Amino acid sequence: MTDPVPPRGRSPWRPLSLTVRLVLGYTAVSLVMISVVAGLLHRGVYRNFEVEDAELLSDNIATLRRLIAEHPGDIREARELVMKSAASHQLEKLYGRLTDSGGRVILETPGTSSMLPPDGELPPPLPAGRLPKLPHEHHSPSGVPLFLAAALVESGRGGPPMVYHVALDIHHLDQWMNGYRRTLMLMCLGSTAASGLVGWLVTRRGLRPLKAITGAAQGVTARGLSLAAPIGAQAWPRELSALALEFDRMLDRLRQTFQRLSTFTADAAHEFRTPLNNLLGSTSLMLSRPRGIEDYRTLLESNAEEYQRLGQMIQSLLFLARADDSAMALKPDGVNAAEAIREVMDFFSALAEEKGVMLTGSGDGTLQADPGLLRMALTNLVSNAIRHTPCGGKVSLSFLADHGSRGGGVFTVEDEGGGIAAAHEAHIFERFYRVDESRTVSGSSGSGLGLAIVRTIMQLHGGGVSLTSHPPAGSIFRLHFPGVA
Amino acid sequence: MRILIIEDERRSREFLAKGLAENGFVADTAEDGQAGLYLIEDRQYDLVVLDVMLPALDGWGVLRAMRAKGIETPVLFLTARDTVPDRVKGLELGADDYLVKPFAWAEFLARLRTLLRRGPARQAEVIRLADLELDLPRMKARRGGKVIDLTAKEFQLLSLLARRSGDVLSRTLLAEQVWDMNFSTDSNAVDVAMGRLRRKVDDGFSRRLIHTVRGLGYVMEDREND
Repeated sequence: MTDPVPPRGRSPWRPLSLTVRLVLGYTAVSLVMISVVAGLLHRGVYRNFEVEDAELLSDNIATLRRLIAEHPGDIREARELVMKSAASHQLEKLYGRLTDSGGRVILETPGTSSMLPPDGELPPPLPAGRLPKLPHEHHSPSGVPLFLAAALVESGRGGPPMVYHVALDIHHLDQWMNGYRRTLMLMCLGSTAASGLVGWLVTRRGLRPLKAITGAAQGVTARGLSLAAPIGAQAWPRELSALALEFDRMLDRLRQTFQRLSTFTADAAHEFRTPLNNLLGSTSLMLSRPRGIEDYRTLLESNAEEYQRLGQMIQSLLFLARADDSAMALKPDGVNAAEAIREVMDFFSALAEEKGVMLTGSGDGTLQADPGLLRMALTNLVSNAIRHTPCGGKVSLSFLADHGSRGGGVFTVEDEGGGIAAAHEAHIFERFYRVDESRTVSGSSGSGLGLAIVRTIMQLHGGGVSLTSHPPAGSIFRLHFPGVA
Repeated sequence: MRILIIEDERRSREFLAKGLAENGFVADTAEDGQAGLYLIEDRQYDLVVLDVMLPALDGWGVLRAMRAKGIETPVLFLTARDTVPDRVKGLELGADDYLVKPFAWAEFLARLRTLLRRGPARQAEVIRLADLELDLPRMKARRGGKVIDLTAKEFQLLSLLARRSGDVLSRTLLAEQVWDMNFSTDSNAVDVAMGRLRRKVDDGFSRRLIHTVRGLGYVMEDREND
């Protein structure tokens, strides 16, 4: 088997496989979802620490305010608080600095000067009675991460309030958060990869029926246009069952067409064999011994007639083949029905008169049809009707416009030719079908393709041909032209 | 008149050449397109009969090459394929006429003569053949001075035969030209119409003008000993 040729005029890139598309989709979605969740987690944890540390700073400030308020002018207890601040917590050390309104340092935890940022970068102090809800995040000049708070402290003796700056060393928290972030990121990547992998497995599994249906279709070859069992009979996922059914239908149509084609070919070969046999037989007989010039002449004349019949048959077969192939372009036009009837009657009037058949025409109107093909269909029907109607009989050709549509109508060809038995009625429009099995009638008999051509012409017009027969009275053929709705 | 036949099928080539020679033409033959093209360039022909399917260089190629060189010799195409695109292609390339295989000799000769006659269209007003006289503008026919009563179609049929007297006209051609039925019919309607015309024209006269050529069609001519 050869690979199917990719459609031309498109980009040279093959479209991505369904599996790749689905897996990329799953992965992208899970990456986004997991990242959002991780981000929210990270934020929540950090906020929690901030609130806790703000409380720590608030406590410190409140305690200092209380100590100074309880002992105005005495800063010993306050000093004790500030001095031990740095030692009081193992992980998070506090550095405090109390200054008077002029900016002079009153108390200071050892090492504070290296921790607090320059005066300009310090946050504005909170007025008395207020405590920080959230700390300011800052860095010491040496790069240590800090939470900062500043507050005014009443001296208790009147006069301007003092300013208290306190910094919490949070480098442990920072380290911890870094580790936490790394863990979250790894989890993100890991679970995205995992969901991609699972997605791939699920997709492969999900698309397995597609592989199976392809495999089933591969079982069909032109040699055997059939499957052991119809594909549609198996259980398929809902999305594929329609495809499977359609595939079966297509196969069925193909098989029918194939069948028709091979029957047709066989019939055609047979039809050709008969006249060829006549030609070969009569010619070889003539050559078997010397004969007079008149004999040769007669044979050649008879042969020429046979050849012409063969040529006509080929032309009819080609017409049908092209119509089947839909290669024939219909050139519909407004046709005057009365004129079409007159033309056909003109052609057959001499023949009908000679045979003693009365040929009549009636009807008027305009219809949408290919003029040449319409004439061909009518000619075939009328020729057929005259051929089968005995002397003294009547053939009538008429048209009735269908006023429900634009350019639609029905042509009727009625003969008194004895009719067609019901058994033949269904097959009469088939190629090479003949009512009388013996093909002894020569000259006046048709090629067996006339009615098939009529049917094909009507199909090309989107209409149809029908037959009503009442043996032994006669037959009525009707050509239905749908017109334009 | 010199005619070149380019046809790879030996039998076709031979019978065409033989027939042309019998009808007083000088016929040259070529087996493939390339050889044919050399002959066309080398000699002066009045007409080229060209098969479409040829080895070396196909009929389209020969036609294209000769038209490109400014050789305007009329070309009659012979083809076994008569699809519409094929015809259109041939006419676009400058073919003058088209004949689909199989064809009868009479058909071929008639087309060939038409192509050779082509030029200033000189339509006679009155056609005379022996004692038959056709007045085309008035659609009147007389024989031996007596008016023949004809229908419009019969007059058309008669004038077609008279205009191409000497040519055998096939039933298909007559149906096409007179009744505009350009497809083959099983029916012998044409024969019957011809029979009636012949009775009107020839009955009562010792010299018959319309003749049946069995297997081929009809011809109108004034034969010496009939």
